[in-house]
Amino acid sequence: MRIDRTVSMHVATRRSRWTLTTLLLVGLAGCGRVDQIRTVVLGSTTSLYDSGLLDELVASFEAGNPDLAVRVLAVGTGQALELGRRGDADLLLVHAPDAERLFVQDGHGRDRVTFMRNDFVIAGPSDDPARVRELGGEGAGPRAVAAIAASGSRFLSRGDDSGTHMRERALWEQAGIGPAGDWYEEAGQGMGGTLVIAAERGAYLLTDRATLTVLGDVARLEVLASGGSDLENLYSVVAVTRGANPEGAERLRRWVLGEQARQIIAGFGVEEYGRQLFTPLVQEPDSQPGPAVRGLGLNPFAEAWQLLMSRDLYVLEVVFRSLAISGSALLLATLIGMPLGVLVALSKFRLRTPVVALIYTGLAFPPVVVGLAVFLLLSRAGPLGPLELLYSPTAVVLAQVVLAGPYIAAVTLAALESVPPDVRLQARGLGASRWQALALHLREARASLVAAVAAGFGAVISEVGAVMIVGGNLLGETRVMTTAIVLETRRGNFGVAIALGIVLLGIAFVVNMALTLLHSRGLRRPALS
Amino acid sequence: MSNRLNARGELLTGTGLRVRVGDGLLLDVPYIGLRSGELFAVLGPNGAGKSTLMRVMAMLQKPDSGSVSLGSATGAEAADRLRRTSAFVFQRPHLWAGTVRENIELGLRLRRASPERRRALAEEAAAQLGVAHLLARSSRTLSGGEAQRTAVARALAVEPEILFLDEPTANLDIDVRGALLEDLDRVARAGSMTIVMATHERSEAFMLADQVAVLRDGRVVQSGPPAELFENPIDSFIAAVTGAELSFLATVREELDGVLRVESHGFEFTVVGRAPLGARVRVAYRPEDLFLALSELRASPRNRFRARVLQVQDAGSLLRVRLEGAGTWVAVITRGAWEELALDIGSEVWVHAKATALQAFPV
Repeated sequence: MRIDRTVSMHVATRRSRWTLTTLLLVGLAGCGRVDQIRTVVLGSTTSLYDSGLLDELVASFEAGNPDLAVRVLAVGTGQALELGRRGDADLLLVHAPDAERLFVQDGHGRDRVTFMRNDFVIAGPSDDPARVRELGGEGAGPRAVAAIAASGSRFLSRGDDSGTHMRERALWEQAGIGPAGDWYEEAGQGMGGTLVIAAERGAYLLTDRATLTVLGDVARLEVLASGGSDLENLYSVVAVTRGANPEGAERLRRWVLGEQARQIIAGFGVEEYGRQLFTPLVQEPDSQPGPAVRGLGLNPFAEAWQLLMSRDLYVLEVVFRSLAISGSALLLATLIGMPLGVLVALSKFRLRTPVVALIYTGLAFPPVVVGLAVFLLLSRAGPLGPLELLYSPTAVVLAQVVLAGPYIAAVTLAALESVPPDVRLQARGLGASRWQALALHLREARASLVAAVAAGFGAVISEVGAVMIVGGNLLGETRVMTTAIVLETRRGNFGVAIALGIVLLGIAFVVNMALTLLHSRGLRRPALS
Repeated sequence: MSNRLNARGELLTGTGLRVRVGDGLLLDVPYIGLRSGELFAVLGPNGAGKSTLMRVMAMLQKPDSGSVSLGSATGAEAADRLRRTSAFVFQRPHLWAGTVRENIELGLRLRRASPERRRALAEEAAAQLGVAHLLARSSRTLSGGEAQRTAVARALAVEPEILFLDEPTANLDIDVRGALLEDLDRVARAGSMTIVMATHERSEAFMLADQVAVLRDGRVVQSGPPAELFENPIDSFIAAVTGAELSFLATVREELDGVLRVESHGFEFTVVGRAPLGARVRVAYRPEDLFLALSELRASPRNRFRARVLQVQDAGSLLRVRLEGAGTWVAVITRGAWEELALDIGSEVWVHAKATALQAFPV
């Protein structure tokens, strides 16, 4: 009892110290101008962010407006508009004119001004199998995609409802083609990520010139077709009707349209890349506030339920792909990790301590670091590049094996060591052969061993970072539940995201339920039969 | 399958056994031999190397040098045969998850016995150790005594030619310990089984064993039948371990309800033990089990007699008092008791000893 009181007093002391610190900070804040700072949430596109222009604009604006802090949400245009609809952003910088007009018409935004342009280009591998190089002038875009489709060359779509993706769909429509087939892939990622994947896979894609220029070294892709009004890329600023900080949004909007911003836009990239990447425009607002704000559509939970009940094909595809990939990874990780754990647990050798420490370190591998390592291993420039495994299910399985293998080895090791050390000796004392003794040892730890496997499964099926890096979230190949949830959230398809989330939770529940049953039965039921 | 004996008529022999730990020797036994059918006790204080000797003899642990042979067989052949014809009960036996029945059948299962045979032998062994009513219970729900009995039954179920018991009673309460010892005694007498038992309890060794080896610092200091160790302890360590100096010879006069009336030097004592009428027995006691009073007490101890203080020795915080009266005796008492009773050389006292404090072993 005395100990308890000491502990709780200790906690109380710490808490009051924290409270004091907090009060001090608040007091200090009240004395200065710090508390005057308000946040403006700027929803923007990944192409604008990946080029680096947005950082320069924001830094310059904040320097002149110390009372405002700009929080940038760099997402696809589709999700940026969705953020605006929900009132989660104050101002939008987007580049999908048709969608923007609809957004304003529906009353979600106002004062839309097109303030800047650059252009889209069709980029691709330098050997140019579809022969789209030199296509230029009016209609270059539709002709280029038609040539790519005709040659069956690989084309990588953003597939994320972004402004770039919307423009790409428009090109296919103009060319009169509904793109489908093995050659047409969807990355479900931002501009930068899609560029990296396209370069690795030798695919064509539609990209804005600025991002391609900035990431050109990484991407190793060439501009093959450009020009014409179809490939014009217009950026607009739109004020959000339901924003939380309309006053700050208006000041930022005016600044973006002002002279200082124009200079930054015109000068961006000139020094570094030797050319102007964006051109500032002057235009009047093209529409007045629309009618009353419309509702947000179907409740996403209801939509998720409908998708699940109707066994939606997309949801099913992603779920089964997840199970197949993580199941294979788990099988391999168990086949490697468990014998390794058994071996280390049962043998004595000189380097045992560092080996054990290494295995336990495997438990703490940050998944994204594993993803990066596997990426570097499999990328074209990497040692296993010639196998062309990157962005394939095999690559995802490999990353998951690297994640789950040490996990299973470590838990196996701990499970075997939790059994009294002389269990095998005692089994030998009853007449067991060496193998029988080992089997009796494993048997005694089997509940923990099953737990190890189940925990490994939970770890890989719910992992997102490494899968995204090495799998690329390609539809029909490496798009699993977690990466699909990321993408669908970005697209604003909350129903699909929630449906997948429910399935993921359901799988976790089933696995844990089975574990719990097994555990309680392990105590009651015969272990030796 | 029966193991043949070697030329000396011994079943299991160890030669030149050495087990090292660091720079020292954990075990150093030049020769040890077990005869078929005998109960061989390895007696010694904790840390003397009893468990190591047991494991080496059972071929569960390889000695750093030396060898163990089974009859005339040596090496892998001996190890194989011993594995099949022996069973080892550890000091802290491990019961596998599952029922008591499954645990008792485990050794038979490992030997691929038929289900009928497993069933029959397991039930017989369980009955012998008094755990038949626990067969369906989970091994995780047993008390210490029940678990120990289950472990012994598990070993007996395989009908071993050689049974190794490492401190089978060390973790048991005193009453449970007595019951288990009686069971072991019955088992030992019933069959032709050879039993090797490690213990630090003198009384266990002398009550049950045909041969006793006294182990100290990894060496066998003396070995032989219990009587020989009593009669001719080679040094004071043996004398202390066997309790030779704290014992006397007596003759059994009467047997009542498990206690014996024995006679020595014309005095009669009530003691515990097992021996036929008229047999010669050695009665041993611990000096701390005697208590002294200035007058005879009407109390539970069955043995009360007058004695005179002959000598007193300092033994740390305690005093070692030599007494004469109905033979010579040694009692250990506190300095406080000595002063309170105002004792001195030549003082007259009453010695009291419970029957269970005096243990008779057949000579």
